[in-house]
Amino acid sequence: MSQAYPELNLSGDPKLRAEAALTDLGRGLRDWPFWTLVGWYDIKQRYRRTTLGPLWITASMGMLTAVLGIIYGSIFHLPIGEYLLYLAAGMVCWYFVSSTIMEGATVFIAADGIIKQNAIPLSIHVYRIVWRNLIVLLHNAVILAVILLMFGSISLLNPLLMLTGVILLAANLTIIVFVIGILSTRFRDLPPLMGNILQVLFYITPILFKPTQLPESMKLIAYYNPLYHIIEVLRRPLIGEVPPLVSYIGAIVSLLIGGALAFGLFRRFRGRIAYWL
Amino acid sequence: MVDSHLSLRSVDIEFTIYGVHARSIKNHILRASTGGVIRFSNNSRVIVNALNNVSLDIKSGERVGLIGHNGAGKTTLLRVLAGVYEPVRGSMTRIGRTSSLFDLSYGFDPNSTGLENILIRGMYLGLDRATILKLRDGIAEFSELGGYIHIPVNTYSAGMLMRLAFAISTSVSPDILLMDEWLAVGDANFQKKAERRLLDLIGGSGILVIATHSLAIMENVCNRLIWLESGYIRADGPFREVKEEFLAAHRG
Repeated sequence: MSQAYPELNLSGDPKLRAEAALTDLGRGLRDWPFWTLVGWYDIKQRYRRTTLGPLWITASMGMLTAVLGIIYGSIFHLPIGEYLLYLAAGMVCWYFVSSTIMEGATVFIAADGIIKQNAIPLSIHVYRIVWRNLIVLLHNAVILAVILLMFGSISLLNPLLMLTGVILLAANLTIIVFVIGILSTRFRDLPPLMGNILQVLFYITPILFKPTQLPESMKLIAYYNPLYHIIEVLRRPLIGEVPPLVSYIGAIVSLLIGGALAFGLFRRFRGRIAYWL
Repeated sequence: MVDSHLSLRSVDIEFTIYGVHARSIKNHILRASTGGVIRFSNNSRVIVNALNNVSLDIKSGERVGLIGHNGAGKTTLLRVLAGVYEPVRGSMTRIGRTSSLFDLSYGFDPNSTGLENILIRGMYLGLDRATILKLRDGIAEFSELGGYIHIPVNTYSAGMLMRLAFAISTSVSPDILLMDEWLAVGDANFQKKAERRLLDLIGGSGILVIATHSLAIMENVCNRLIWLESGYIRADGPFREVKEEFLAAHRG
């Protein structure tokens, strides 16, 4: 994007860091034609020469959901249709979360070549990852559509709620990627560690089970879990329900707190990232 | 074309070496003939001073060569000009659309065709889709890859890949051109064509900065020479003068 930005000012002066960070974030957003196209090509590349193409993700998620749905549905003694729907919606959202965060851990490491060649806004790499995982989310939504058709509640879907949910979830994930990405570039044991953390979080966060199934003493792992809320704002609309207000508040609060943390890190370390690679 | 300009003010570039304790190497640091200055910070971190208090101004029309021993700071300086390394101290200002011809084939997808890679790589250059599509045929033709342009680049030889990468990277004329070593691309025939294009680009650009060990190459192209030594500018001036200084120091 050096062609697109003919003016560049870089300085070691700490007072100018906030402005430089904001410039980077803004220029990155303005370059959306670039990262939306390249993000799309990332997905295309993954599925070249495969038979199912992007449907591979959908198929494998579908299988996993079906198997878990049947087994855990019977363990929990829940009506199969209702549980399957809850599980599928949760899995689709969780996949978006974990895949974005895992890829986010190596966001700058993977872009080493281009970061060392040209001064393009660093935020572009973050937006690209969130975008391509959004594309995958849309593919996976196909499973949900199938289940909704089978258990008959497509008419309950509210597009506005779904869109709001997607935006809130994507915005929160963008912020998480900034934080994890910056820290992982400096501390290289973080990416594999994130894998372990996400695995644990999968079992703690109500995806396989509903929070109502938890004993009172354990309910806080749901209600005080920011991931639970940022997932709820999308999961509920996906099954035709309305997310509770507390989840919207939770999602927005984590957006604000996470955003402040992410901006703080980005402002301080944006200029150091190239040195860490 | 915009009046391009490059300016560095008291720039320090320092690399902190992580994972190495000052204790373990202090005993081994002797006056080295290569590399930047290694020093130790207060809390025993090892730091490499790649550039020290570098100030310079490059105006439109200047073709600058960078010369110096291995590790003198030539590549680091180029990267500072490319905007890759933010100065630890000091500031850098740059005006003009810039092309760095360092790593030509970054962003290539092996499974995509030549044409598709032109699109992807073109976007990395900062061109919009419409512009790339207009340039695409010209790029394909310049590369002389014929029918290969329609098949995945993992079928290409290394030389063919470089041709394509070169054709793409040099498809637009920048205001500022940065090069780390002169590009030697393709077979003898293509190399002649490539040289002509590089000279065209240089002629068309406002500023050229090139790092190389070959005074002969720079003779043809540069009007100014900067001699770097261990992160400091030892000499900076008209090409002939600095060249004489440099040769004198290395004689005998």
